[in-house]
Amino acid sequence: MNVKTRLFLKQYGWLAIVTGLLLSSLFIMHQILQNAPEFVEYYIGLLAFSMIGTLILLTLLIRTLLKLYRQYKQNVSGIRTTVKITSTLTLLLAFPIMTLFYFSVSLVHQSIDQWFDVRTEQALSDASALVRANLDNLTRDSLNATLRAEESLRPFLAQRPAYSVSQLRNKLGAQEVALYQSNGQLIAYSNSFGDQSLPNQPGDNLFQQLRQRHSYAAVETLSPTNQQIVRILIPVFNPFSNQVLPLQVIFNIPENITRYAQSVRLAQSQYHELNYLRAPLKTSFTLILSMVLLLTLVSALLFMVQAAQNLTRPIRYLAQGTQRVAQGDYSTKMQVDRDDEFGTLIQSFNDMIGQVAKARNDIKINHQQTEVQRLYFQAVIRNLTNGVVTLDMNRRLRTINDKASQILGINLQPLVGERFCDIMDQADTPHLKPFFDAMMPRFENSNLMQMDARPWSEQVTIQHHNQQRIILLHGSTLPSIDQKIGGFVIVLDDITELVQAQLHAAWSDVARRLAHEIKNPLTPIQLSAERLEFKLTNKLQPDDAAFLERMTRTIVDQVDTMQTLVQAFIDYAHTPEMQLQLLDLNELILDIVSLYQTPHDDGIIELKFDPECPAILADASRLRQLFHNLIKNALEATEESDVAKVQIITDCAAQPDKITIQVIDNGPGIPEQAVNWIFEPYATDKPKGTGLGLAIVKKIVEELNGQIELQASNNEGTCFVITLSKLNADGH
Amino acid sequence: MKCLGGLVSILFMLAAQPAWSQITLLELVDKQFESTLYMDAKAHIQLSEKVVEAIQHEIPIQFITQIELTRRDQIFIFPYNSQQTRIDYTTELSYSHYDRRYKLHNLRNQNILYFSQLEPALATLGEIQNFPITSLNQLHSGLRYKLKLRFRLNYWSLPAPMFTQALLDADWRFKSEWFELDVQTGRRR
Repeated sequence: MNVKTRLFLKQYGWLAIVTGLLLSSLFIMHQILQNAPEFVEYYIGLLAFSMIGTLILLTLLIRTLLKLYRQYKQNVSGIRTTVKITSTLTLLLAFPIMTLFYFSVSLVHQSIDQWFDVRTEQALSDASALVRANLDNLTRDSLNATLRAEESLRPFLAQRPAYSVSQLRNKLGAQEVALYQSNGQLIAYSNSFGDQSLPNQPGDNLFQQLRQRHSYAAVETLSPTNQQIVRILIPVFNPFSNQVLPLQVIFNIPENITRYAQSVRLAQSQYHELNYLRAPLKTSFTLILSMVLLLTLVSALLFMVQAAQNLTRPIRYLAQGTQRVAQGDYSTKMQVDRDDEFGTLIQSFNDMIGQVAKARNDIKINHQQTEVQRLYFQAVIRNLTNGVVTLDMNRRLRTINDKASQILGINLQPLVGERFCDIMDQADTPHLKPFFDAMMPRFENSNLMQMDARPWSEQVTIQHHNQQRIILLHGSTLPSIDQKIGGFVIVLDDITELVQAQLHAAWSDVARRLAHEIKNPLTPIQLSAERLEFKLTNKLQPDDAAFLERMTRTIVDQVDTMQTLVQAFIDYAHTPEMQLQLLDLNELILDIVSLYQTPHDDGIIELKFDPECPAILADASRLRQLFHNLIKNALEATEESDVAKVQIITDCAAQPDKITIQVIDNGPGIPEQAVNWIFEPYATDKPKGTGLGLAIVKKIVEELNGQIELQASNNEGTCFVITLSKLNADGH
Repeated sequence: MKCLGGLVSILFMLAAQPAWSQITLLELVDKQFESTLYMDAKAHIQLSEKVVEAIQHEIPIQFITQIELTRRDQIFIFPYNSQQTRIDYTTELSYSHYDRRYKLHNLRNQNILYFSQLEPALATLGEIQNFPITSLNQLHSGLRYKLKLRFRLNYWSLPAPMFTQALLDADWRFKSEWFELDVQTGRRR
């Protein structure tokens, strides 16, 4: 027996067996009611068995329906289909069964009623009367014949009783003739069989009746043969003993009359019995039919529920599998244990899920690879020394790297997703106006075609925190067939340092040429002028001599000035190798400042040193030049001030790995427009000076890998902030 | 006066067919002779209309006569009755329209009696004469015995269609109470 057969028997077998047993029981009950009264003692047992069995099935049905209801409430997969199928089949089945039940009950009742009608009852009654009348006539005739025969043989009965009874029997054609004493003792008898068997003894009550000289004539049935006879008992007077002797004559009733009589009696008896049992019969048949109806409905419902569950099981499995897949479990594989369409469907589902899982895995791998690529490119873009900004086709900011934010001086990451033109209106982006002014025309629709055609570049200068930044923009479209991922890319290059370096290189070259071309002739000029004065002073008139001396002094002074200027150019152009050493910055500054102070007067220079400042690694002579230039610059700037004041502040705590030195004066300050070129050569607005002081300062700071920043505004003095690196733990 | 009241009640019962079957015990005596305990009893049986109607429709009705002799015993202080003798016999009462007579058939000894009226048949059914119960040798003097008699209708013998009705109708599960008589052993009559 294979698994399917076992499962089928488990699901339907017990129900089929129980239903079959109960139907058999009801069938037997039906047969007992109609045809087998000898098994009547089993009727109640079968009735109890049927009722208990039906109740058990009904209990099972209620339990099954409750289970279905709970599953319906829990929204178990496939339960709605099961309920629908069961309900539909129940309706389809219940209606014809109920109709059949109704007509069956009506038919049974009508059939039972039709058994009994007045004509049948009257016919049976008439037949019975007819038979009885016939038998009464026979009895009466037998009695009369017996009386006549007894009268003819009366004298001989007392004298020769044996002979007489024999004669009497022959004469009457009777079966048996017997003569008794009055007390019932047998005197003589004769029977038609000629044997010695004793006659059929009448009862005591008959002897008593005869003693009172009353004759008896009746039809009797002999047991156990059920043979019907006519028993005649008449009193015979014995004149010798003066006694009454009972004479019994038994006549056989013709067999056909007996058979008809039995038939009529039986028919009448059964008719009366059935007539009485008509109502109980109807009740019993109705009960049996009701139980058949109930059993059929209950069994059918149980069968249908089981069948519907079996039918929807693959649907339920498929729904559960689909739910698992929807929850992300693509390893779902359902067992294919059927060879019908559902089996094909489940197999197709398994194949489909396998393909989906494979495709999903491929997508996952591709996604991972894409993600890796994306992260890689993000890392690349993030670590680019160029700023990168991308916009979508709607000019919304899509990506921006850190360098772009750094170059533009604003963190644009929070603004990702906003339209580019809206960013321009942000309150904290006024310094980006040149940037936006350069960009916006590029996004105008009329220029888009050109943008699509070729990349573009443009240089803009922005001013942020008193610093000028020169930015080179490279723009291009991102070609894509999908508008969602297309857009624009803008690469930002901060070329400020490059420009400044180029400028510095140019000025250095100029300085070197000037130093080379001018310095060499200066000494011969000076010496020649002094020689002219020496040779001609004594030979000229005093006026001419005074004139010569004045001219010669002018030449010498101007040569000195030019030598100073040339020396400044040499200093600017010359980049000697750094002689790095550990220096106490505070001490160095104090030493330099002391040159600008008298012993008893601290002057206008105020020092605010951070005592915690560590030693720095730097070239002392270059630093001296740096601070000399700044202090000299500050002192010259405060010459016009009523209360001149110069502050030098060192601070090691503001930044963890930096030392900041501020040189502040309360001079007239630097005009805003001068901020951009203040560190460039010949950027001075002073009548005297080389115009290279701050340029040399900036150059030295950059040689020390430091930064210098000008913090100034109109009429509020000037503040130079120098930032130098501290030594790390390794002394670097 | 008490006898007169009983007679009146019997006459009243005879006058009309009662709605429910009733059995009234008229006499219950024991007799002991020739080492045997006998019983005489006479009961007046009245059947309900339903039962009579069924009989007259030739439905044979069986009555079971139950006779029981119990002994009063005691274990420690706990009294109980133990059954000494139990005799059940069935008598079938039927009617034949053809013969126009009632038939009383004792299924125990196969005796058959015919009656043209129902009342004598029921009187015969309720009358027990010289019925041997047990040998006196089986009884112990000094012990207390009790003779019990009960009649009941055997609804298990009814035709199958009537079972449903019999299960629901007390008339068809009719049985009398136990009529009891204390028996004194060692007495001769």
